Amino acid sequence: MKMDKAMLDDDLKHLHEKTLDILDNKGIQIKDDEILDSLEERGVPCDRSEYMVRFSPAMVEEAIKNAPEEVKLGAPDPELVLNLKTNTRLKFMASGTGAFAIDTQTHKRRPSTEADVIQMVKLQQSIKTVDVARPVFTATDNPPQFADLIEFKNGLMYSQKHLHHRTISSKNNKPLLDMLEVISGSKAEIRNNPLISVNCCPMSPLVISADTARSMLQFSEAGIPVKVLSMAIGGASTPASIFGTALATNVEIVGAIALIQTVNPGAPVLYSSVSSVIDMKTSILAVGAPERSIINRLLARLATSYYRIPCVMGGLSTDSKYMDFQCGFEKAITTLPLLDYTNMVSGMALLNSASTYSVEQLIYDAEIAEAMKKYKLNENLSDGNEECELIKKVGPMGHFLLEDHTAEHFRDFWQPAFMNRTCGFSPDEEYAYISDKMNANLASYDETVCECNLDEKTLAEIKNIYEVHCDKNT
Amino acid sequence: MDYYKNISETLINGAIDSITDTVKAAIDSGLSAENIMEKGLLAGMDIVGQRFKADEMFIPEVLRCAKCMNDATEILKPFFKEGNSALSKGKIVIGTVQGDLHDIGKNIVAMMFEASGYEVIDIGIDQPPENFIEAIQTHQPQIVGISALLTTTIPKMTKTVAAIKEAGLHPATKIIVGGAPVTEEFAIDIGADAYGKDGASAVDRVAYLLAQ
Repeated sequence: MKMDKAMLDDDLKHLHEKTLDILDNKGIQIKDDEILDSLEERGVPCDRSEYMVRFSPAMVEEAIKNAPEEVKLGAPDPELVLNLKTNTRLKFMASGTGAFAIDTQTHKRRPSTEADVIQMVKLQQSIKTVDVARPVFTATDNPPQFADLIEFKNGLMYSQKHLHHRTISSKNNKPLLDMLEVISGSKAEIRNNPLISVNCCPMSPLVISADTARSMLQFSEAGIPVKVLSMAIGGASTPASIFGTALATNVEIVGAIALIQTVNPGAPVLYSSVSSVIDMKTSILAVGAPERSIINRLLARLATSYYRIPCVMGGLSTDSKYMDFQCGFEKAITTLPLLDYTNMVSGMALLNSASTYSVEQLIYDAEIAEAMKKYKLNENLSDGNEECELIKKVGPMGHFLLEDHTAEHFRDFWQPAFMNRTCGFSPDEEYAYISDKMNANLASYDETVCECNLDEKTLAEIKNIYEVHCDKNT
Repeated sequence: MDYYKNISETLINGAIDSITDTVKAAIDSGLSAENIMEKGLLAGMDIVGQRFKADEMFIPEVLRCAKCMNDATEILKPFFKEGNSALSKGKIVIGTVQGDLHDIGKNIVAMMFEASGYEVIDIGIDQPPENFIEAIQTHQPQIVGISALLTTTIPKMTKTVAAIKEAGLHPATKIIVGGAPVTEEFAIDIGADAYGKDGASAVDRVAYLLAQ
């Protein structure tokens, strides 16, 4: 055991040192003169010819030190505020953002709409296992350049939970922050109880786009937690090895954290990776690949135990188009290895390599998440004294079903809500069992969905901000 | 004091240690055995059944309730008029076929029957066909339940069903079969009246057979 721990520690140290080497000697590209001016003012060497920013090891160490160990994910309902710490186990949220939905009536794939966003947000509000809400779908029935604002508006209208938001363009940040200020009441309250966090993705290899860099700085300046999410593709945008992909992923996440912390020291950030490997037949990012969980397990440990930064890692993922055996296997294999180091897993509702999402899959994933929460890799066992005496007492051919010990402890075993453990074998009954339970659940969620959180005055104000922004930019 | 409610709640809670005292207190207060059975114990078991079907209660809890029911029934027996039907919804002989030493599944089904108000005569494991026949002749049950776990003992189930029929005990006594290798199709093939895929469905099937 000690040898194993020592080897892992060496791996982490090695990964970190190689990261420092790349950030110092090669750097990361940010094609934005204004941001480079700001970094140079703070002593960061920048190569203007190639827009390469080179953070020294000391600067990186300082940035990691300044990143908070605890990140507050505020919420409209004070009971649902989440303080994500490096020892938090185990929170879940959906993935996003897809342009396709599996229709609940036809079970066929179609472009997702604003109505899908609303349904998904309401459903997440109803499911206890979902800790943070997401719009999940793109509202493709709205102008594409403003889709993130539509998602944001509906998220805050119908969720009492913290909302994780994705940015399309930094041009939308100002109206979004204006709307958030109307809802929160003031800039100080946004910082005090950030109702949203934002997802910002570097581009592999070694690039933070100017637009993403602006968003990272604007949101972190406002006190909104920024989730720095790497989506590296092992074998395509990173070297074709576990270590190589982990290293390239870490370089871009740590580079982005260095950017944020250099400009806005102490700003809340979340370390996040959905990096995986390429499928060399189809060229897709294989989100259900078993390699993915090895890469992200290593990075989760680096984030939480070495950097002491809370992390959100991609799991519950699949390349399958259907809720089939591939889906079940990949959802499990991409999540189980994350359990002992990850603070939050994202991936609920995901199908089809993260291009398609499903409300039914969200409900199934909530079931898997419940099981995962129950499953503790390092759980302490009982001392066994009571069980030893009980086995002797019951004796040969006895049973334990009527024993007090069983009555006290049998609920420690996980009991599924959906998975069919009935005896007998009948494919028709199996289908009926699952679909009956699903229909009952969808119906019950519909009955319990919350009403709109925002009053008419607030709605009118944010609508006005949205319309003015659209008029100016259409 | 609402004795009926108290008895129901004690039973629903599976409080094996206190059910007999609770029932005795009700008798001492002058309540009839029939009313204690109907309004206290069976009313409680109805709720247990509903909660089990709604996934709110699980087998260990139901079995504790069944144990309460049995213990309470023993207390009440001397107070019932002879032949009172409130004591039992029916009589069931149950056993595991010859060559099969597995009885946990059969025990669970037996306890589920008892929990549902049936009188159960459990003849045990490794029982040859003649023992089933003897038990049926002795106890004259409405139902006989035959269990097997092993694929190697399944042929004994066929022989047992055939022997019961040859002895002329069927259809006066109806036959239900169950166990891991048993299927609905197999049950029909060997001439059984019903197949119980698990304890709860066995209870439902028996209720259906008795209502026919």
